[in-house]
Amino acid sequence: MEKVPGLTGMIVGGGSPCQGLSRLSSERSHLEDERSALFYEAVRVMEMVENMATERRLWVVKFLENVVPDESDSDIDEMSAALKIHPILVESGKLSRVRRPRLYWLSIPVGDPGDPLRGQGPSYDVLRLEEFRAGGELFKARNYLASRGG
Amino acid sequence: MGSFLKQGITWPAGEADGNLKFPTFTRSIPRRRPPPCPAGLDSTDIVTRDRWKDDQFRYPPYVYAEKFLVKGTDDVLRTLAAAEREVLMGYPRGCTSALPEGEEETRNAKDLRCAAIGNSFHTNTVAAIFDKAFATMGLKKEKGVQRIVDQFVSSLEDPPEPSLADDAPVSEGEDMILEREDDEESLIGELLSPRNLFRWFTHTHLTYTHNLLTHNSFTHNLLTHKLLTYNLGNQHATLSHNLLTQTYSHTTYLHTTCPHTHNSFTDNLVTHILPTSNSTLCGKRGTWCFCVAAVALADIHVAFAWYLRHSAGSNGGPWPALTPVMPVFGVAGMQLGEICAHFVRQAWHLVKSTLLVAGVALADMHVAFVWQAWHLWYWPGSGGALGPW
Repeated sequence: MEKVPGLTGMIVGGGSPCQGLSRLSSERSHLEDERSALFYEAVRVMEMVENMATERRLWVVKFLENVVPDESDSDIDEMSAALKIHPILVESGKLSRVRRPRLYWLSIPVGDPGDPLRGQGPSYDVLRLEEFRAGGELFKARNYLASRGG
Repeated sequence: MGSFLKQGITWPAGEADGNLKFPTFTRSIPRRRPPPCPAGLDSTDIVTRDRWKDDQFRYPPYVYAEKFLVKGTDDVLRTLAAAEREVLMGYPRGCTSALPEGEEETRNAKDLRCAAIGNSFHTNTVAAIFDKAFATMGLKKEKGVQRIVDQFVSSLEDPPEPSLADDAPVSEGEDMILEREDDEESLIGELLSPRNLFRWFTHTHLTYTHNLLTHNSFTHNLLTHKLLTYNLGNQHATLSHNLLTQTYSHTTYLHTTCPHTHNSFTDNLVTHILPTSNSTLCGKRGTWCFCVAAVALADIHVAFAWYLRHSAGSNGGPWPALTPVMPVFGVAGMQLGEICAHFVRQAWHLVKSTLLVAGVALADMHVAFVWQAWHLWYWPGSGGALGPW
């Protein structure tokens, strides 16, 4: 942190392995899967960085992305408890012609409380950015969603 | 061209149904036998399963349904290629092309690229989330997903071919600000302008990057023509070669006593180091460019100083005294010296790290030392011995 001039804040996070969590896997072993268990390592690193940043009076944002596990599993609640963050679900298919529903744990609020674009749920909120639809129209206009080359 | 499919390739089902979307991208893993209980198998027909088998069960079986296949120029249906997946996930086309092939025969470059994309984020979604979050915190004004998407789509347009044609001169004697994005800017400096530096990293195709980089043109208020990075590298290589030939045997001592200098800088590192760098950070690459160019130019500078001093034999500082004696080389030496000094200043401005300061200081001391050593301790007939070296 000392090596970056003018540093005022940090984003720390990423995506942890999903093999044990994905509903595509019939033999998933959840967070006991040795790969998906690396999630806890990510939490540890994020907390370490957060502490270092706080000592230096930097703002810090923690961020984690993963698949949407089956709600009957306890994976989401377990991950949210470890991160102390309530996740949001965003479907990237609103922005592109490929589906990609994903959970995002973000340590700062995305939208104000009561934002009509944010539907609240017990395990996760759903971010429904109406603007995304305008984005879809934009894609069409710019030939991004069209399948023919321009 | 903003489409994720190149001209001549079609997605028949997608054209018929504008709301149809490809299934979530997953990793690409060729298998000898199907995985146990694959998701969505029940929803597939026999033709789809045959395609799945023919493709070594790389993706989930439902991916091979006809509605999710595109038709190539040869009219053959296929799953999406890596470059098409990249665009749909919000990456520049070809950004995974630098991935090396795997050691295993089955892990070829295509699989590695598709696996990397399947493991990745949808970049525009992440950008939209952070955009909204930072706006919520009051850190910045919300850009909005429309602008985020617009900028991405614009970036998909084919990059222009690098051109050697003259550009309009940029400001001379004035600082210039080049804006890459709304929230990113860089101070370019007062004399030189690496005109394309802030464009090339947004296009990751290596060939394009290489061409663009080697055709970076620098303007200078003392030069009537532009200097390209490629020219600088070639100048350096040529000069180094000439200095080591019989014609310039009196100058070999400097280089032979500094083998690392000679070996490290006879090639045009400026044109080779940067394209092979794996860094994706514009700041790092920009800094690399300045640092490498500064080092290469410093080496030219030293060689020029040596050659000019030896040939002219004047008593004053090399630049003003040598100009009338050897106008061509003298002017070139002055220019290179000033360019070098400018690069050093820019590198200092960009990095401000202790290491670079030390390097710059040593390089400066080196030039001064060579000059002083030559001036004070050169004995004619000693075969070019250079004082302490």
